[in-house]
Amino acid sequence: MKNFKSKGIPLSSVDKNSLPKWALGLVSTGELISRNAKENADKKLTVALCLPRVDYAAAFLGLGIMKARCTSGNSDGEQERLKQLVGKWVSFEGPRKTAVGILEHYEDSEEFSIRLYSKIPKEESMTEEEWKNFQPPKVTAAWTVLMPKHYSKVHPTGRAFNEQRRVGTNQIQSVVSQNHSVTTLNKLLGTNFAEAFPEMTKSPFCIIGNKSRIQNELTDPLFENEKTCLAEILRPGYLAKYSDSRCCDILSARALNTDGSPSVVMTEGSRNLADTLVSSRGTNRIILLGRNSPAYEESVECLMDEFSIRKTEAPEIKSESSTAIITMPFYH
Amino acid sequence: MNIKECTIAYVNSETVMDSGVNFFATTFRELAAFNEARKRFLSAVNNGGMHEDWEKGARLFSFAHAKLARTPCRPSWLLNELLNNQGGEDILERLRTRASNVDPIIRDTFHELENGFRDLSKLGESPLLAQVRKAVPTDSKTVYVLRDLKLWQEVEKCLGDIISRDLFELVKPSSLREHQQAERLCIFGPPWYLNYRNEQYLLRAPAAPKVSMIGCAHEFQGRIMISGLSDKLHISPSPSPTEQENDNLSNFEPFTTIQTGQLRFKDSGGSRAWETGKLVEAWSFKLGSSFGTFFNCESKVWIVLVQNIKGVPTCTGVEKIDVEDLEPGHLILMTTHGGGDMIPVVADMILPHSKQIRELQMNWKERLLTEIEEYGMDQVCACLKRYGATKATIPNVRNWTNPRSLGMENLDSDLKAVLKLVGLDAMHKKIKDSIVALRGAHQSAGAQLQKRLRESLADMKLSEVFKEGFMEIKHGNGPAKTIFLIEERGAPEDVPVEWEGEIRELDE
Repeated sequence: MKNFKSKGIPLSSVDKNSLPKWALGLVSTGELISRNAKENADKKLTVALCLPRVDYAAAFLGLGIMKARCTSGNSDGEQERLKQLVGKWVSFEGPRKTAVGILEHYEDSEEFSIRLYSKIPKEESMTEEEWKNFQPPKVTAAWTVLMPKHYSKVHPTGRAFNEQRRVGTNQIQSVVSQNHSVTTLNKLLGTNFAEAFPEMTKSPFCIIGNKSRIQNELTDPLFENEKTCLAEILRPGYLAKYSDSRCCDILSARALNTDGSPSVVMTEGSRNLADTLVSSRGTNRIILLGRNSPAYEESVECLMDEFSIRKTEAPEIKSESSTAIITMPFYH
Repeated sequence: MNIKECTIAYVNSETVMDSGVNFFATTFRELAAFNEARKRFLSAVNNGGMHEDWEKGARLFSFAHAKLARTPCRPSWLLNELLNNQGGEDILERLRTRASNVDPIIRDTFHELENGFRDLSKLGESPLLAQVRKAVPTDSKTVYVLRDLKLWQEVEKCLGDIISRDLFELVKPSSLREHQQAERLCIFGPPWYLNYRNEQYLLRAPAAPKVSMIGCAHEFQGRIMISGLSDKLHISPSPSPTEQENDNLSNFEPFTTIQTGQLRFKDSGGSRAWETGKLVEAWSFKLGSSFGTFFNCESKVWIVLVQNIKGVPTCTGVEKIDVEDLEPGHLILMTTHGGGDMIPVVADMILPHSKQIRELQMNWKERLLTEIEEYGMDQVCACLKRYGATKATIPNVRNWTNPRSLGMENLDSDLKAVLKLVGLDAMHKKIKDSIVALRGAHQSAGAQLQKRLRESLADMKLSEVFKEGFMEIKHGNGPAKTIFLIEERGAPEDVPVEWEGEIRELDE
């Protein structure tokens, strides 16, 4: 019998339009947990998830947590978001191509447009002499006026965009490529994650478990012949490129202290679970129990002990997508 | 595991949770009668404070029942093996001489069991095989779970007589923890046995969407809880069992499977300089030829996969498994001096002149140990600092002397200071280069480990392991490794971290 232990067999291109049911189930569970934790901020929530295996569980739950954060704003969120981007370089994913330009806002009509034109270097990047002699390039500008339905397709250009270079095909390509993972995941999840994440001083969640496996799950491509990976949304802090805008930290199973007190701690069940449960009582937590794990029985026992000591009723958090996912929520 | 494999695992789990497990129960009249007598005998022996021989007899009868009820072995073959090749007849002979002096209940049941053996010996095929014919479609591949590796060849033969060889495969339960793609899974034994053996994962996270269990009607009992988080959810076999749980599971378990006692090791002469005093929870294992070892409960070890080819046990591959899953009958691969970490062995295969390099390493480490023994750790640390070492703390120096550590991080100031202390400062460059080369080889070895180990053991005849309990393997002047037979599993205990994987003599 072949043992498919090797990594790197992503979903085939046939599956590209959807994620498996179980993965969507975990995303929606993560979203529900995040909302519940927010609505009951005076309590701390524990949700145990019993799964056939823990692989990818933390990653998809993390997507759910990020999804809840991203869609929890007010109804005018998109407009407000765009206002924050006025005067900055943005990309706009049009029906035929992606355009890059500076976002403008007309207060009278409350309309937004993107001015597409040759870039002017920043004054502070030039010496006084250079600035004096500087001749602005001929404006070959064009405007794209945005309709409200397009607002969600406007995003900051992000780190791949070099403001000091001419806006050409190469520049746009690099923005498009960087945005690809985010755009693909947005389509799959019905979300509106932005390509450029705001600077964050602390991660919204952290994952405690098999560090190297989890890191691979975040950075391995999801689909064959594509670069889409979960790290573009989950932005693990261990990768230098996300250090300023990280969304999660990954700690080894032996870690007892989480840096920066994240709002949710996800822990994969292991022989250290009893210690992790004690040390994480001050935060919301998700406990992932793989039914194939040698430590499963022991982990369940620890969890039930914790439940019997600290339980108070919590509303049911249940995934409708997969009967293989069993949940047990309680406030601690 | 990738997303595709995860998806298969979830689908398998959903299907088994929704559709349940098909149980095929067979009426095994001779064995059911034998089992009734066995339980009476066991109860009488346990209550009577009997001689050790009677306890051995009780275990022999239990073992025979367990194997006949939960494997499709030929009863005639199994009893011949047990009685004539594994010392069972000697036990029976001793009991025959004692039978006239014991309680009539024990004597009569003993004779009943002997007659039972006689009846069972006449059966050339297990009735479980009739259920295999009924349960398994002939057009799809089925994976059969077999726990006892000693029965591998016999079970393979029995199944091969009724199913085409390319439509079935035998696997150990532990190899089904990770995903394996199978169309159908077949487990021998009743549901309660999975609880007893801690093998509920075979149903909770099944390797196939269709699971069948085949067993004897007289012990068809028990249910498997899906998660353990709620006692409401069960995976019930269909048809439903007649009783919910067995009242005394220990009556059913054969000997030599799970030991609960601690193994006793001979005193190794107190702690050594590199021991830090740090304790780790470890399982003890009895290896072949009166050796034993400890393995960290959370670590993994390499085992050698074996199959009987033309009657000779032959290596078919290697596999890394959790220590938790290591069982009697497994063949474990270790370095000759001890330890389950195979990276040094493979590193030596990669590295030219590895022998000389290792000797060089041993030389300065031994000299450093002599200094510590003579002047004490505090003095040595102070002296190293005077010679320019920047990290000469007691734990660090302890670690430097450990034969398994490659050396210090700082190969300039710290290594120089150590070599100056032990009188080898002229060799600094040579030793520094060798440590760098060793580190590089260790890194490459990590990546090539499985491939190299498999290559070095491919098709190797392993009869010696089963005769002697261990077998040392050398490739030319290359590094040596040893394959040990796991004979028993002890209880977990806290031991110094440095004892892990060390081969020690058992105090028998």
